[in-house]
Amino acid sequence: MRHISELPERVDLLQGTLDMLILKALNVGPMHGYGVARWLERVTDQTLRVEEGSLYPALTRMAERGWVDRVWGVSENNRRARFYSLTELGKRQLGRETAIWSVFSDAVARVLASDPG
Amino acid sequence: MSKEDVDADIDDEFQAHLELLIEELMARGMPGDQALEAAERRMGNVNRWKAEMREAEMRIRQVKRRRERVGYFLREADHAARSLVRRPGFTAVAVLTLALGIGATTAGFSVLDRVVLRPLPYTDADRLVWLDSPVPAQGPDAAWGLSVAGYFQFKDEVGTLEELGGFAPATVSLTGDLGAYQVRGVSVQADLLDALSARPAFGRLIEDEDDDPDAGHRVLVLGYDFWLREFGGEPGVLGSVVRIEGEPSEIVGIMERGFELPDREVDVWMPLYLDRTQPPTNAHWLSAVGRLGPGVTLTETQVELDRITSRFPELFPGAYFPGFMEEYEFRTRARSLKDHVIGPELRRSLWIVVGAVSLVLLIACANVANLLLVRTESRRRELAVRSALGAGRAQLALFAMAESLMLTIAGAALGCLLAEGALRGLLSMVPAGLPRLVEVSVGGTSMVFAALLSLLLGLVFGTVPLSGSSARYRALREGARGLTAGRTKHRLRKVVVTSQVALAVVLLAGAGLLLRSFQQLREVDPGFEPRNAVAFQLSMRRPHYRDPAAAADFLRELAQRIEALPEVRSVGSGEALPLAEAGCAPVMGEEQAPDPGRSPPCTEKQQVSPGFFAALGVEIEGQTPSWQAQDGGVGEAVVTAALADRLWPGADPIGRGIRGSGSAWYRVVGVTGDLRTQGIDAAPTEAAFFPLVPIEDGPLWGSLTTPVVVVRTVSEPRMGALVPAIRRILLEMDPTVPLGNVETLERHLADTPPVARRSFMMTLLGLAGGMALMLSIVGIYGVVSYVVGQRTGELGLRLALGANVAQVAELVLKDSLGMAGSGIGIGLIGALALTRTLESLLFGVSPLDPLTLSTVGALLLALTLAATWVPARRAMRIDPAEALQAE
Repeated sequence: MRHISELPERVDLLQGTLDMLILKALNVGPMHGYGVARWLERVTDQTLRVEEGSLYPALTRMAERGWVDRVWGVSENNRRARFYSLTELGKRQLGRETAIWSVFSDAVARVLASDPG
Repeated sequence: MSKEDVDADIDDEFQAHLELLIEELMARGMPGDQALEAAERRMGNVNRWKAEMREAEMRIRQVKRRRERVGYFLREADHAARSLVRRPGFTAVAVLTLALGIGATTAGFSVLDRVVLRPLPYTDADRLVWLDSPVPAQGPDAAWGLSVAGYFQFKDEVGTLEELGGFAPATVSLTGDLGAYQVRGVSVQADLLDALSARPAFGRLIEDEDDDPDAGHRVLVLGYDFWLREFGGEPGVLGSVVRIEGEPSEIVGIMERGFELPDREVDVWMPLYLDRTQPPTNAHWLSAVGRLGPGVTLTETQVELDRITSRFPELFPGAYFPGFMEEYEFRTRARSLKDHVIGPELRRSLWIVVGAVSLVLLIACANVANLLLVRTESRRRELAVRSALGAGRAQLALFAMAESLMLTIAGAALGCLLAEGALRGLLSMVPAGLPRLVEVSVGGTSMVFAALLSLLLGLVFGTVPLSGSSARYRALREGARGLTAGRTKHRLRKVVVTSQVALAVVLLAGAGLLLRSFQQLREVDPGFEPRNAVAFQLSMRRPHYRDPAAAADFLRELAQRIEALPEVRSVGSGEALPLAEAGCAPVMGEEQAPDPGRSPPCTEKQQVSPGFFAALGVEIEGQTPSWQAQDGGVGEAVVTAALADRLWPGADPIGRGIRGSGSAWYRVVGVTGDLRTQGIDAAPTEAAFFPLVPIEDGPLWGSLTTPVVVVRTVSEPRMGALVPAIRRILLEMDPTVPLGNVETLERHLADTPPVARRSFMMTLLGLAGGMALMLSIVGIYGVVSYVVGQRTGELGLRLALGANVAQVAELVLKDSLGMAGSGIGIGLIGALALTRTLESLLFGVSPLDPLTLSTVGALLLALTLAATWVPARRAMRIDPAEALQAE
């Protein structure tokens, strides 16, 4: 198992892609920002690393758009932490983005698989 | 939530994240200080993303606050709506009262807007001017038209006028396939149509070349409505020929829809031929409308007109003498076309109406304010509880505002409906000759007006419950206990009622004065009998009738044949009905020493048949001229008493000589009583009546070819049988002679401006006064019964302590009489000041008429007593035991 600090240079995520991943993470259940980051790392086997500098502004933006609800709670280490959960609007957004993504990645996959000649 | 709170939250979130990260790194075996360093490195440029978050947070806050505010307002509005529905009585009375006030004001505003405020329906109408010649020597409003010579001089020389067009309206006979009838025609110079920017709907309009009489080809343009009505809107009529006054004329165009003369409707437009080469005359029959050049003011044009008019004696030496200019104070005036059309009289009347309905609105508002005060009073505890539970002043104000806005908006909506209904009703009784009134309805502008009014009132009423709100907490503590309500609380209500009564007195005084004027006017003896008589106009255009004897023969035969009809008593013909425009001539008496400097004043004269006086019901002392006189054989004339008094004061006029123009003298054979032909509010008319056919060397006036015929019947004329019978006689005698303007004399009298204007204004002010009266009585009743209700405990205590029923009733009465008395007093003082504005409409009654004013005062006092009666009786029946227990 690779050490966190030894992860490859960060993969730049497209804005919309990050939003989609966060929504997907929250679809599992309410969690705080750290939990979202950890969940993403875990399910991608440490391949995707979400930078805090993008994560929190993205969460705030999503709160502004009404995709997520926020409540204050207590973290595992007994700190005051904000927990995020998906709203109905957020769930719908996730569905939409997933659909677009699959069309997009299909297309990219077909391009890459095509015969060079 | 403040900016600091936002920052603290972000910091907390950041801190939690950082610590979780460190803990995890340490759990994997990293030493504490290294873990801290690694975690901090991972967090990156914390300040940048914190700033980004802060901005988003602030936006979230803002949206949330806005949403809260809307929700807050909606909640209060909902609350207000529920509380209005819970008290349907209060709500209904308040909305109805407001609807009456706003409706009356909106109706008044609609009329003012349409008639006075809006421009006339022409392109750039504010640049149109009306030219005429005021002759103040003949009366403050007297004005002639222009002379032909003057008209051309102005056309040549007035540089500030872009266009100037003359015209002359006249009733003419039109003969087509359908027979002959009279139509409203106007002869116009092509320039007039240019000045008014007229356009044809089909074909063409009158053009410059059309007014050449030598062309031998007459043309005419049909008015749009006339074309629809009489020609079925058939475009094929273009090019066909009809006869106008017997002359064949070709229809060359149809006027644009809705285009009329500024002051009248037109059926047929014809060219007006003006011959410049004729010697100038001092005859002012030409109407004229001009268009100011761009950027030119009326004053500049007036200066030019004055300069040119002052040169008339040298320009037209045969027609204008310096003496004439001086004697008549002759000048030429330019006024805006709108001023001419509306006239100062109508403008003033409409402002009076608007003033009256505004007073009604004020009274209605006073009632609603009182209702709201009472309601606030009864809700003191509710409000106190709410404010104790943390509702701020702002929230309570919002609630009050929402409530009052709902009332006023509902009132305005209902008011607009009332206004529309009222306008329809009023328009059906608008007298003829009130311009621009026919088209009035509640339109967009009026609705905007009503909406703004309702918002304004809503905001004002919204503050009513707030007055004295500092006492609210105390109300809670007091437990609203106490036998008497504070005196100060009633004072405001009483002031409101008092001012209401005062306003009602002012309005009723105005309406009363007009009513008295109308009565007085009705009692004026016009000198003729308007009942049981029918009048109509003939147009005898065949060249045959240019011989006075031929015209007289025709009228004589017509009279004999109509007189043979059942129920007809007498028939006569003359030039004009009393109270209609009549001609005038320089009439002189035989023994009168001619005044060398002056021409004799132009005295009203008519050529009449012998039956004219009997048909009009005019009493004659002496005789009426015989039919021999009608044939020109004997010169016999009749004068009015007023003329006889001037020509031969104190002497018997019978047998004296009189002449119009011409050198031969007529003998006066009869004298009428006082005859008022220039308005029944005017002085008795000086007039002379001559036979149809002039005697030798007599006056130069010609044949009477457009006579008015009066038929007196035994009883109320049955128009349905009489008119067709007369038509049949005319058809048999001469089918080219059309009959027009059939009306009863009574109708004719009622339609004359002095009567019609006053009856219209009287109705309007009467309606306003009635509403004012009703509203203020409701106001008095409401307040008195509320006060009695509030004082139940006190009155019960008094009764328990031995006061008798009469003393209790007296207490209640004293209250309401105090309000009514001071209201009536103040109102009478106000009426004394304000009824002066009605002066020009009053007749035979002074604006300070004591009878009217005291009647109004007594009426209000009586109604106040009636309104107090119910609550006073309730007070007298109070059961002391119950009243005290209820506390």
